[in-house]
Amino acid sequence: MDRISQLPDPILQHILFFLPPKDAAQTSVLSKTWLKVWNLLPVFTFDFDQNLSIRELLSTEKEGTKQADVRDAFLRIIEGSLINLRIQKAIIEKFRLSLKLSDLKSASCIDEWIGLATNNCIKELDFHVKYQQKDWYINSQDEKDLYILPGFKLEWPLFIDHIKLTKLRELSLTDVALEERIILEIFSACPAVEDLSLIRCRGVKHLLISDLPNLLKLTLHQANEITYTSILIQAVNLQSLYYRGYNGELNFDVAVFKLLKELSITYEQITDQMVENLVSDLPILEKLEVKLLF
Amino acid sequence: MAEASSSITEKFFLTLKSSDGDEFVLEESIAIQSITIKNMVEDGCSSSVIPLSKVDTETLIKVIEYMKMHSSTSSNEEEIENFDKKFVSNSINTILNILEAANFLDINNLLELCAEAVANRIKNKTPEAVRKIFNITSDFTPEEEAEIRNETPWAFEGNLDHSLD
Repeated sequence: MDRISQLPDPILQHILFFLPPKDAAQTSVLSKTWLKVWNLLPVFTFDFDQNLSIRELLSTEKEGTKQADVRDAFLRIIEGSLINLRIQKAIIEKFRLSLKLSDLKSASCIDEWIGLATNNCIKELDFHVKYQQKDWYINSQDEKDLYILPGFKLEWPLFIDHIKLTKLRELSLTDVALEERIILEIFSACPAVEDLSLIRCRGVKHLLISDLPNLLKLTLHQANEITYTSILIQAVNLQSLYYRGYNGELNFDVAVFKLLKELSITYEQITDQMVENLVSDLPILEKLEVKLLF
Repeated sequence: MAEASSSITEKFFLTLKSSDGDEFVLEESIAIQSITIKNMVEDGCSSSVIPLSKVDTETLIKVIEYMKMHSSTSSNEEEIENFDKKFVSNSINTILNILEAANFLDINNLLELCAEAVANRIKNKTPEAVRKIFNITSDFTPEEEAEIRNETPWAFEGNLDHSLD
């Protein structure tokens, strides 16, 4: 056997700790020894549900504890767990947090948690945060770095307000109820987005995609029964466009994307004329995919 | 002068014996950077030769070099930094031997240094390149490997360095 694979497992784990998550995960295919070492790394699933935890907390604390104290204790537990994980360089299988917040002060710690969570090897990040008065939101008052690793998905079940995610590169909204105004707010809050997906989002008739100067990849899937009346995409650097729609006419002009390399269109009706237009207007197109939707 | 001579008289020496049977005499204050040796000294096991059956001569020489440089009295920070840089440029097999010795001798700084050096030779490389660098033979069937890749798809996306540097 080769020299490195003869080393005791704890030493091999120690080596993995010095690697970024991606490189560490790749070692799992080297050989059975390395797969074993990878699988021996501590794995955690976080599923924080505030109500459940409060019940647990109450059972150990004195009766009559004020709601605010309970909440603070809960926040400290999350923070403590995340810091511990950071020290152990553990893998987080899933981090899910559902939380109601009543004041902005406790909201600012969410930034820190996202930072702590993404510093670990994390597979799925799922934050559902509800501001007690009205909206769902993620707050980032002090603009700490936040980035979402490839494969991550940030979903807002309703809509968001007061956000500022200046380092966010990948944004995916699935089954989200939106309004024109909210879409623009999201875009202006996430100016660094390179990869945007809007999957089956409802509530928007006139879709305007603008203010995203770094946008390289755009995925648009329309909801089954609802269609955009108009789509206007202002993204001069766009390289990849994946569109799946239902209405009779393609209601936006792809010819404006002179840097487009990859185009995929799934559609109800596709005519020869359409395909011809697409090909002739896109000078550096490398990959064209046209699918018929049944 | 009186002070200097008194500090010399306080020096204790230990004899370390490699798995090849070679003996090395080392100041106790330097040798106890190894927690394993320190514990032996404290337990009173150090009056005779300390046998290190898991460390060969070549590796022990390197480890002693490292401990001498890192003993607090004789080196400044810049010297240590330069020494460490040169130290990790040893051949990969030498580093792996030192890594295992550092683990056995419980010298945390050295363990960290070598583990990071090994990690740096894995970083940004494809699994195929890592196998070549470390001479690792895959014992997976192609189907098994594909299955493992499917488990962590995020790890196998994007561009990677295929070179062996």
